[in-house]
Amino acid sequence: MEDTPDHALVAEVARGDAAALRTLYLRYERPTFNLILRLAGNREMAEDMVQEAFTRVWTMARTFRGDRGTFKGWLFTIALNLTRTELARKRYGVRHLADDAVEDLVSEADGPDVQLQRSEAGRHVAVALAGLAPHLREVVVMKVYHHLKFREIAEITKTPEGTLKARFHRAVAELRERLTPAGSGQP
Amino acid sequence: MTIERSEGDRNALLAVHFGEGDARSVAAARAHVEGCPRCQEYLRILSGVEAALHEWREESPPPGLADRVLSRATRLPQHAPPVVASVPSAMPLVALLPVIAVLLVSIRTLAERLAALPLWALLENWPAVQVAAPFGAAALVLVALGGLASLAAAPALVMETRR
Repeated sequence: MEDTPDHALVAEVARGDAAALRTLYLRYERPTFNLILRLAGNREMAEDMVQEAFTRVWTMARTFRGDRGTFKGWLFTIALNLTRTELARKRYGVRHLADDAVEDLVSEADGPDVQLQRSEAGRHVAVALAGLAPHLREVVVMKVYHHLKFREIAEITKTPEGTLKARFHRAVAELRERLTPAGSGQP
Repeated sequence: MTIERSEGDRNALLAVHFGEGDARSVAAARAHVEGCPRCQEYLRILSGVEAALHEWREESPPPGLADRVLSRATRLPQHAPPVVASVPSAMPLVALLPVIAVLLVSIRTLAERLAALPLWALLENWPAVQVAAPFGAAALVLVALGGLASLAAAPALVMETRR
């Protein structure tokens, strides 16, 4: 089952095959977790949303249309929509704040395991990303960390490619400011 | 140095940076960049920001998340797929031929019975009836055609409203 293509596994999931869901989960757990983590800046929320996303995969597998896109795109769409909804509810804290407030928030969300995983520079990046407006953060995260093409991001976010590119440029300009150490001139 | 430039120029630089887009456009943009310090600077900024972002390395989900997610998910019932009924196109006119035949026979029979009525013999001599008769017949034919068209389109319209 390890070599089975995604679309065949989704078809098995649609027939109630829990082993197929496990294979898909193990294949996409990490990217999905990191996608949500970088969008939300909160590990607890990322865990909850991964759980919710794969629950949707199980319950909605029969609605997946392989001729309309990849499983990864479908999964990322589910994850993105869940994350947007959850961020809008602000249950886990506001995610577009001034740098100081964001830094406090990101630090509060970091448990001991995060301290081990995330370097000082990594924490600085997390703060910079959390300071971006959500629609700018989405395109940066999907482009830079997940190497999706703008066409694929357009399908996932339901946003025209031109708009996404304009957002990317804007995000780069903002991140350059946020990530540039004072006086260094380098991001 | 500012990074002000037109949207099209900047998007061409994204294509160069990410290697996305058609090969000819990317090659043309690359050729331009070789002689353009401003574009080279923007590409350096893109690379610098991207490299800085990768300082936030991929993180591992907590151990045990897989079992938690999978045991919860598979306890739930799966949803049935949405009913995607095939929308029939307008009923083929061939299928309507018997209906048309029955309609024509009915009209003819009705006309014959009306003509046999004594009242009709009286009426048909009136000038007003003689003038109105062709219009009445034409109206009857139009109504009949309209009815047939509605009949032909009905299945498609019903399915469309149910979607």
